[in-house]
Amino acid sequence: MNTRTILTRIGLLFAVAVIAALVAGTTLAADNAAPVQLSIGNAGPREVEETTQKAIARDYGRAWQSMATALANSDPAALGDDWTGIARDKLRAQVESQQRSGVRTRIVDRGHRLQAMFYSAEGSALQLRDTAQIETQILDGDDIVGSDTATVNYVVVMTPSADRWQVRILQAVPSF
Amino acid sequence: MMTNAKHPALVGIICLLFLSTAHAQWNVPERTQAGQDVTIRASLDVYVVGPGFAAKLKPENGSVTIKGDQLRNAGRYLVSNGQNSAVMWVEPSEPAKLNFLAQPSRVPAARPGVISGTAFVFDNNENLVLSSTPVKFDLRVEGAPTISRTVDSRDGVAWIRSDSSRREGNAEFTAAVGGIGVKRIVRQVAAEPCNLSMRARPEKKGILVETAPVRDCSGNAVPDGTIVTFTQLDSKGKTTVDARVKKGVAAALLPPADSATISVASGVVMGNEIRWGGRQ
Amino acid sequence: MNRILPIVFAALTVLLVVVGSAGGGVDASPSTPEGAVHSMFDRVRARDWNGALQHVSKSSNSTAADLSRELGGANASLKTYSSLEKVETSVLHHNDREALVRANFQYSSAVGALADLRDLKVVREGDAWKVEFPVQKPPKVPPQVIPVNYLRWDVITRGADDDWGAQNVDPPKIRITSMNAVERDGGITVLGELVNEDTVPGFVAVGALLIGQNGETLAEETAFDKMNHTVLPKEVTPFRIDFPGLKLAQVKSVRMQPNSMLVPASADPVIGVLHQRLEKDWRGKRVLKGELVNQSGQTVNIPHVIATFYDNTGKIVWVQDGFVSNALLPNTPEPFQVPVRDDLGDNIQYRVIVNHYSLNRAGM
Repeated sequence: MNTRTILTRIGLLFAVAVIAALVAGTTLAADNAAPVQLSIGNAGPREVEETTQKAIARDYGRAWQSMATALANSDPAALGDDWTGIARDKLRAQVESQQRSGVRTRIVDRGHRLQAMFYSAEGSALQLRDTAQIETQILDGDDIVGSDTATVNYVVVMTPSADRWQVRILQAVPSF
Repeated sequence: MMTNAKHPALVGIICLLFLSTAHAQWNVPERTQAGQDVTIRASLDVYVVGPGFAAKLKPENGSVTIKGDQLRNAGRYLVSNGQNSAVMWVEPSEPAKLNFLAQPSRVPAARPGVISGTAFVFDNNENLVLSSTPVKFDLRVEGAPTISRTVDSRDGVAWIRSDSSRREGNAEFTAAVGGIGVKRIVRQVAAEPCNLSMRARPEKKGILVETAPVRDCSGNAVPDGTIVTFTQLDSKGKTTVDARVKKGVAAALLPPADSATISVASGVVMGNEIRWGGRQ
Repeated sequence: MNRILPIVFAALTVLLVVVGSAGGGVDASPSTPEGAVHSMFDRVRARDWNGALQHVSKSSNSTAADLSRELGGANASLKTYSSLEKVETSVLHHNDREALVRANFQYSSAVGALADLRDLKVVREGDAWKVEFPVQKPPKVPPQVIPVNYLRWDVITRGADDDWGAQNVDPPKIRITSMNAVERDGGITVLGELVNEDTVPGFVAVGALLIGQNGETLAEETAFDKMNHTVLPKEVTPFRIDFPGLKLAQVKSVRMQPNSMLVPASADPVIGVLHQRLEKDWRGKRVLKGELVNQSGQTVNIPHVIATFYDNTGKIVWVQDGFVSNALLPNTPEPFQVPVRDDLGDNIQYRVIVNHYSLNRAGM
C-alpha cells in the first residue's frame, strides 16, 4: 500500500468522523429548547431590563419543553416549577384527562416569536404575544391518530417567582 | 365490485364518493363559546385534545357530543377521527371576574405616579377575555377628591398609574367591569420629614432637646418609631443619640456642656442647628 | 520485654502531663510580681474565684463575687461567653515593696478575639507578692418603674393559598446613599451607607458582585456583621464588604444587591453614644473612644459598635466595628473603643451607631 493510498484513507476516515459529529450535534440541538426570539419595543409602562429579557426567553422556552414532556408522557410532575396559577391548573387537567382516556399529545415545537406588550410598573407581571410554529399530534397508544402543523398565536402572562419567570396564562387565540 | 383492471375509473369515482361522504359527515365547528356543548357527526371514534381536556369519544347514533364543562377552557382544540383532523376554537364568554394587582401596598403621600393598578379580565371559566372591555378604576382617600379613570383593556389587561394624594391614610383602590368590582387598600404614609426643627433647654442631668411635631411637607405627621438623630459637639467630643419619634415628637437628653453645637437630622434630611451657650 | 514497654509508655505519659501542666516560660510562683499576676490569672482562667482571691491584696477589699463579675462577666454580657486564653505581662517598674505590671489579656469569644489591657499594682505582703485589684462596685440602678411605650411592629403576611393579586405587605424601601470601593490590605473593600426610606422597619442585607473586565463574575460577598441589619424608619446604617485577594484593576464594575424584608421589631432600646473622640492608646495607635449609655429600662447584653469614617469631602473611607465585653445596664455609661487605621489621614470625620443583642426581648 503506498503513501498516497494511506493518506487518502485517513482523509476519508476524518471526513466521516466530521460528518458524524455534525449529525450528532444537529440531533443534540434538536433535543434542546426551540428557539425563542423576544422583542420589547411595545412593552410598557416599565422598560424590560436586559437580564429580564434573557430570563424570559430562557424560562419560556423551558416551560414549553416541560409542557411537551408532561403531555407526551401524561406526567404532571414534568411541569416542574415552570408553570403556575391558571396555566398550571389547565395543564394538569389536560394531563389527568389523558391519563383517564389513554390519549396522549405530542408537541413538536419549532420556535417562538415573542412580543412583549405590557410590563407592570413594579415588574410583577409581563404580558406577551407569542407567534409559535407548532406541530401537534394526537396519540392513541403509540399510533398517531391526528396531527396538525400550524402557526398558532398565544396570549401569555408571566410572573416572577423566587428564581425564575413562570407562565401563568397561556391562551391560544385565532389572531391578534 | 368490478375489478380494478376492468373499470379503474369507476372504482376511483366510488372511492371519491365514499370519501366525500365521510368528509361531509365530519362537521367540526370552527368556533364555539366556552361552556357550550358541541355535537359532531361521526361514524368513527373522535379524539379531542385542547387546554385542560383530552378524550377519545365513541359515536352514538352517528354523532359525539362534547359537553360544555369539558370545553370550558378557551383556546385551540384539535379534533380528529383518525382520518381527518380539524381545529376548533373555543372563545371566552362574558367578563365575570377581575384579578386586580394594586401596588405597592404602601406609598409616600403627594408623590406622582407611584400607585399602579393592573386588572386582568376573565370570564367565569378563568379565560382571559380578549375583546376590548372598559375597566373603571377609582382611587378614594377620605378628605380628598376621588380619582376616576376608565381604561379599555387590551388582550385582557387594563392598567393605570396614579399619584398618591397629599393626605395620608388608607386609599381605597377599586377596579370594576360592569357590576363586578375588586377593592384593594393602598396605605398612604407620610413622606420625608420637612422643616425639621428642635429646641433645647437645660435639665438637671443635661440638655434636653426636643423637636417640634415632625411632619412631611404636606403636613402629615411622620409615624412613631421614625429615627431622629441628635448630635452634640462640645469640648469632650461628639455625642449622638438616635431618638425615636413618640407621639409625633422626638426628644433626647444630651450630656451637660457649657458650650456646644447641637444639630438634628432624620434619614437624609437635616434640621436646624443650636449653638448652646451662645447665640442660636 | 512485654512488661517493659507499657511501663516505659506510662512513665512517658506522666512526664508529658507534668511538662504540659508546668505552664509558660514565666515563673508562676507568687515570689515575683509577674508570678503573682500569673498565679492569679491562672485561677481566673479556671474560673476558680476563691483561688484567685488568694493572690489579691487585702487592701483591695474585693470578694470572690466581685472578681467573678469583673473578670468572668455578668448580665449575659459578651464576657460571660468568653474565656481567658492568654496573659502577657511586662514589668514597668519594680522595687522591694511594690511593682507596676502591665498585663495584656486575650479572650476568645464567639465574635473573635477580645483584648484588654491593665496596669496592675503588685505589693509585697510578707513573703508573697499580691495583686492590688480593687473592683469597682457595680452601680446600683435604683428601683423604679420605667414605662416601656416605644413602638413595636408585628407583621401579618398573605397566605400561601391567596389568589393571585390578593393584597400583601411590601418589604421596606431601602436605598444605598453612597458607595466607595477601595483597595486595602491586599484586597478590595466596598464601603457605603444605606437608608430605610420607608415607615416600617426591616431586616436588610447588602451584597456586592464584582464584574471583571470581560463581564465575568469575579466574586460575590455580603456585608455580614459590618452593618446593622435591623433598620428602623429613616435609620442609616453603614456597610462594609470585603473581597480578599483581589485588585481594583481587575474590576470593571460593582453591582450592589441590597435586600430587605419585613420583620417584627421594637423601637427600643435607645443607646446614646457619648463623648466620641480620637485619642492615642498605650501603643501610640489612634483609637476612637467614647461611652455608651442605655437609655431604656432593659439591659442590653451585647452591644456592637460600628464606626463610619469619612474624609474631609464626606466620602466614606472606612467602616470599623467592635464589641463591648460588658452589658449595658440602664442609664449606666460603659466605655468603648475601636481602632482607627493609620492610613485614613488626619482630617477624618466619624459617625458611630450601636447594634445590640439582647436576651429576653419578647418576640425579637
